[in-house]
Amino acid sequence: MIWPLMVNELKFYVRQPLCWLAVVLSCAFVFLLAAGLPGSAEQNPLKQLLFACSAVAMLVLPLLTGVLAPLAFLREQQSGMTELIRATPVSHFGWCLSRTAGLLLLCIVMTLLLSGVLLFGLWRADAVPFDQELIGTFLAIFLLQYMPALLLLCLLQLWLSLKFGSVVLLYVAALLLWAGYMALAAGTGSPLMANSQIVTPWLWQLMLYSDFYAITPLLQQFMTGQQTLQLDLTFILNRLVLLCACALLWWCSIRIKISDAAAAKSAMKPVVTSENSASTSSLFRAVPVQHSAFYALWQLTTLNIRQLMLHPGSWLSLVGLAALAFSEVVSGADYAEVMSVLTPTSRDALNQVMWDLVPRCGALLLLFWTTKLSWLNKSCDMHELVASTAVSGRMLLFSQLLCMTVMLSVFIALMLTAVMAAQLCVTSAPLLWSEYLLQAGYQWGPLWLLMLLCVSLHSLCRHALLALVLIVLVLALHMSPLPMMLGLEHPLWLLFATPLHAADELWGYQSSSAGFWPFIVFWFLLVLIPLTLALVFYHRGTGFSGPVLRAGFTPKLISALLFVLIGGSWQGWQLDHQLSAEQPLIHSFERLQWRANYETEYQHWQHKPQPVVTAVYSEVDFEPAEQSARLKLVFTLSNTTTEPIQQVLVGQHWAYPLQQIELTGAKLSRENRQLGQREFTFTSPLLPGQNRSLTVQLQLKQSGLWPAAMHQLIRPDFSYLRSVPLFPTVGFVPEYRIRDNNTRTEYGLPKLTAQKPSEASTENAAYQWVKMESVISVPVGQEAITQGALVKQWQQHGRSFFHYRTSRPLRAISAFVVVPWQKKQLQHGKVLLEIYAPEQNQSTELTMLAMQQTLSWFEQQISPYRGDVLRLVSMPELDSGGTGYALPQLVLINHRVGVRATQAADAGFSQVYRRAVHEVAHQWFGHDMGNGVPGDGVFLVESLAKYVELVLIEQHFGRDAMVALVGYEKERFARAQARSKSQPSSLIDSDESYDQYSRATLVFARLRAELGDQLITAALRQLWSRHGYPNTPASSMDFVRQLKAVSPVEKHGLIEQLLLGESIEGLL
Amino acid sequence: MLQINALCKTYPDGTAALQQLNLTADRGMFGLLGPNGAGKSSLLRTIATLQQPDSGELQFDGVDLRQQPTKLRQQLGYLPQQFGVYPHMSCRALLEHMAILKGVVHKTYRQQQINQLLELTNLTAFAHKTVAHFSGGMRQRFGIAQALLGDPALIILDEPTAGLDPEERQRLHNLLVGVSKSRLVLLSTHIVEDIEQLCSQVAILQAGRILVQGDTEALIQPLQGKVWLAYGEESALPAAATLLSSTYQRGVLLQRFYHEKPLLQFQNAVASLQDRYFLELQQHREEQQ
Repeated sequence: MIWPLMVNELKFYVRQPLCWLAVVLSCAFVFLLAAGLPGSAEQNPLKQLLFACSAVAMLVLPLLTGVLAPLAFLREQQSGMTELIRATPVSHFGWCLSRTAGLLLLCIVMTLLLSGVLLFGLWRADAVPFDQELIGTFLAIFLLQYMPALLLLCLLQLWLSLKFGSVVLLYVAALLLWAGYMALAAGTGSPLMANSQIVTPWLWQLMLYSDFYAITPLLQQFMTGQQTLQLDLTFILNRLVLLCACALLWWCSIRIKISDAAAAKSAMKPVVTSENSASTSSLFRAVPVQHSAFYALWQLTTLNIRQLMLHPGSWLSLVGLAALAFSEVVSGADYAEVMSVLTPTSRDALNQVMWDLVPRCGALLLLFWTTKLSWLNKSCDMHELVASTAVSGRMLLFSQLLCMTVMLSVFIALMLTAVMAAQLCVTSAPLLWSEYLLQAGYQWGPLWLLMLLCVSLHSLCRHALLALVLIVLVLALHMSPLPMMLGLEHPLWLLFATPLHAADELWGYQSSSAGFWPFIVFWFLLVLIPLTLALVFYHRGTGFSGPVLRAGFTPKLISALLFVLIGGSWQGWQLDHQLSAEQPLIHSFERLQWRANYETEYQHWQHKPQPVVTAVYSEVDFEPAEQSARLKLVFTLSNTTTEPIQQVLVGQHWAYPLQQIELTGAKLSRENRQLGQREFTFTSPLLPGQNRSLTVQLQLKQSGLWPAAMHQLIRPDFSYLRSVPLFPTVGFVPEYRIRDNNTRTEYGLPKLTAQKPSEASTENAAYQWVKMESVISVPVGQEAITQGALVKQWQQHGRSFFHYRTSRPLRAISAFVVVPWQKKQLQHGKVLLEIYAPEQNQSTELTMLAMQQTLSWFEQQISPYRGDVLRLVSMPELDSGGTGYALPQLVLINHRVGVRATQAADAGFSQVYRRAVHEVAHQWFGHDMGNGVPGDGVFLVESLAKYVELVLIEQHFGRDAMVALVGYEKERFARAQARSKSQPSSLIDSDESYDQYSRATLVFARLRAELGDQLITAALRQLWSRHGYPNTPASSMDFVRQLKAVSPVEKHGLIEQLLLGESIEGLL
Repeated sequence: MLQINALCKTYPDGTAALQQLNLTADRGMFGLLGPNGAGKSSLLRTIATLQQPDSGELQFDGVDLRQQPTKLRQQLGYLPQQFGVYPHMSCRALLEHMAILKGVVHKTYRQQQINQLLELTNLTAFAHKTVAHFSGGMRQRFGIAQALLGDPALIILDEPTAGLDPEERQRLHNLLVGVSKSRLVLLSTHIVEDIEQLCSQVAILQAGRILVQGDTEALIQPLQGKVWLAYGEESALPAAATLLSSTYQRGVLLQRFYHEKPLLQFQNAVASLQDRYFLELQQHREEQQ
């Protein structure tokens, strides 16, 4: 009996357009997902496959079952066939079984199809090899991960549909499952979520057994260093818990008898029966009619609002989101980073939800509300009654727009109220009303425009499904990584997005506020087109015909549309022009082509003798208020070779074209504008030891349409320019070459022999150090900062001038920073220490202490600081800015974690101190040593800085603090390497940051325990004496050799195992 | 009042719903008769400006409805064949809503008319109940009430008595007769008896065309003395007879047929609108063949 019913089910699904739409959309999504995964032979194919499959499970399965469940379980109710179906001899058990099995079978077939697309995509991207092992792993994943999860999701939908009988509830449940799992994944360090981390250990433990996709127990296996999939006890228990949940749901479902469900429904909707009364003798009397637009608009709007607000989906979502916002702010407003807290302000509280939760959930709510509202009359079968009234289509549309405006405002107001309540709970900081209003406005604007588009599309499409597909496409471009995955990198592809970013306490919205209104105006003009069409052609729920369409396109309408189109195009062109002028919109494949052309055209210069830059004189005029700067740079080129130099190759970066380039004693012989390269020929050859001057000028202007990003930004309260890649290059730059051999083959380039750091040679290595002298002018009240000692400071023509000069050469990375804050100074021996921050507090005191103690330790143990001054400057939160960045003689520290943050009560060590030590240590590891050998890894830079952290924290805060740091890094390492898809490699050779930082901490903790600091510092001293500037630079292997040289022979095996071995055994 | 000339409407799937349809209707009740799919609802929806015709003229009181649909909607009362209601709204609240959309903005007048309509449709006791929970007949009465809101000059009722019990049906008849004295009531129904009782004018539609239109009495009159009854099984009808209907009367087969000349062996019957209706359909079928 069941089999024919199931066949019946499948025949039904085959005829449903929604099923086919789900197949097409999900396949397209999975293909894009697979295409977006970077493939490399160096990655672990098992992890790659598992994570890809898990991503599909997490992102697709709940939505797929959610979309199909109403078809399976509520189709009678939707099409008014309930009684017909109930009158058939199919029992409730048989109904449940056939419907669930049918849906499950459909989902299995679709998931198999999706898996095929996924595997094809992964194989095509070279992410996984297509072999027997892969097929076996995939089958295991399908049987153990997909099938049980699908069973649970289908049974959950069955139970919900029987219990509540609401389609919307099924959709909301699917959406909550989808979003809820992602939130849990983000809170348990799932590899599928960017920047996720374990929030609390109990949540991790809970997910080990209740994660219905079984990603957490699998992740636990990888955290112990395991590289293959195994059915351990935790995994088996997890699956058993899931099966028990399935059994419970099934039991609950079959216990809900059809009659019970019907009774429940009828209890909800009691049918009122007529009571015939005596016939009346009164006659019908007409009343005066006076058509009033205001009354009609008011009536329609209030009815629409009432209908939306009374919908369970609306108030459940609003209450749920408000609760979520409240909990987000309460739990995270004072979070600076792990083990650090800050005193949250209104801005911090709002930032928790207003830039992520509100826009995303707001867009989804708009989708729900506009669909519900636009098709309300149709779904209630009231469309003809309403359409036959004298209320115009425009009025109906206006009422919808007004209603949606109110609903959107209610949503924003509710979220603000939740944040406000949470802020009052967690901090005594005053409520900043202006910040609340500002953030509300910033979020309301784009969502309102999106609402206009949604309503317009619904009004123009005769079929709700078509309108929904269009809107979902818009939302996908609006808030998913789809544009990037499709290679659409222009900012205007992110529909209805503006460059506006969350405000930072340091500089407010200066990073991106200039771009907000130009983008909003553009989107508004764009949305005016469908809105105008909707106002003219609104179908009123009864459809429109050809004659209406033809008659509607009046000259007036066409003129209006053309006017808006021209306005929108002009604004779009302006945006594109300004964006391109500031940062050329070069596609990734164009950049690769540039690199390939550069290598082909100029690689022969690699073997030509070229002068090197030995000194840089800079004149920089900053106009922070105008977001511009003028640079005049004079480079001293010296011939340090033994042969005369006839020609020089001078290059520029594509984003920063140079102006007025002059090379003394030389003339421009050839110029390639496309590649930005100029070849100069000396009138008389540059003899060994001789110098020439290269003078260039550079004009920078930032419109603010691009959000501020490292390392070139000019804003009123913080400006920072780094010489790389601003300054011209001399000679061939090997770093421009494409590294990946597969890509090289695509562009017709020969393969490069990749040299691992453990094989790096110092044969051709040389330090590129220069002397620097800079004169920087800024508006009065601003402070200009760069490398070297401040020789002179004066004011002239209403501007402040700062003259800096370095006494010795230093690594050739210049940087210019302008801030409006006063500095705090401290003389430490011969070195002047300076901290620039908007406020001086206990964290800046601690930072100053860290700077002194680090300098002292290096001076005593390794080598004294080479500069006269060491400066540390607070920097705002920036995309890809990190929390700290060390330049020669200049350190940038994130204001939030470096100045505002303090040590959390339960933290074993201070992150503020640790970070300051780490960045200051880079003055030795990075800028003194570790910058001369091309192809060497970052072991000499980052890993050794981690060693200094361990030593200084133990020295000044005790052993427990050091153990806490090791524990923190151990947890980070376990989590990161479990998430990583890379093949294991040695610490010296690793490209992975979790190895370079966390594993390095564990390795040095072990080496300290086994060898002691004396031997390690002895090795470092040897390294400095042999390889310090101006000697031959050191490679990472030189450190290993020095360490072995000073260590007992019996420890050599351990040193090799920890630094050169791939195994991480004993570290976790 | 209503003037329709050469009206055509073809749906995207190729169905020709209205074909060169001509119709004239004056004040009073006008009945539209026709089998399923004849185009009655299409015609009513087109008159109600819910859909645009492909071609033809459509005027009400001299107003071109294709050019000025809003003019008609300002004086239209419409009850479609099928309709639904908003959830969570009481009968009175929904009538208030519809009244305002129809331009009854004066609160006192609105309240008065709603009270009166509730009474006329026998819904006073249920004014505060949710309409979505009403039975079929009650919902239909609500539909009639909303169609009468304001001061409609044209009232279009598509199957208004569907689902009404005999008593309510009678009440509606009485109401409509009163209402139609100063306005045009277009009534579409399958119950020929209703139209015969209520409508002074009638039109019979088939396949998107008007087969016959005119005064109800005048349409019946030509059949008087030409409709015959035959009782019993399989009565042999004369060759020139047109069978109008075969029904059973207490289990005995009763055939009504049309024959021009007197027949002695059959009983003569009083002609009705239904006879004319069946006769027109029969003749149309024969013409088609």
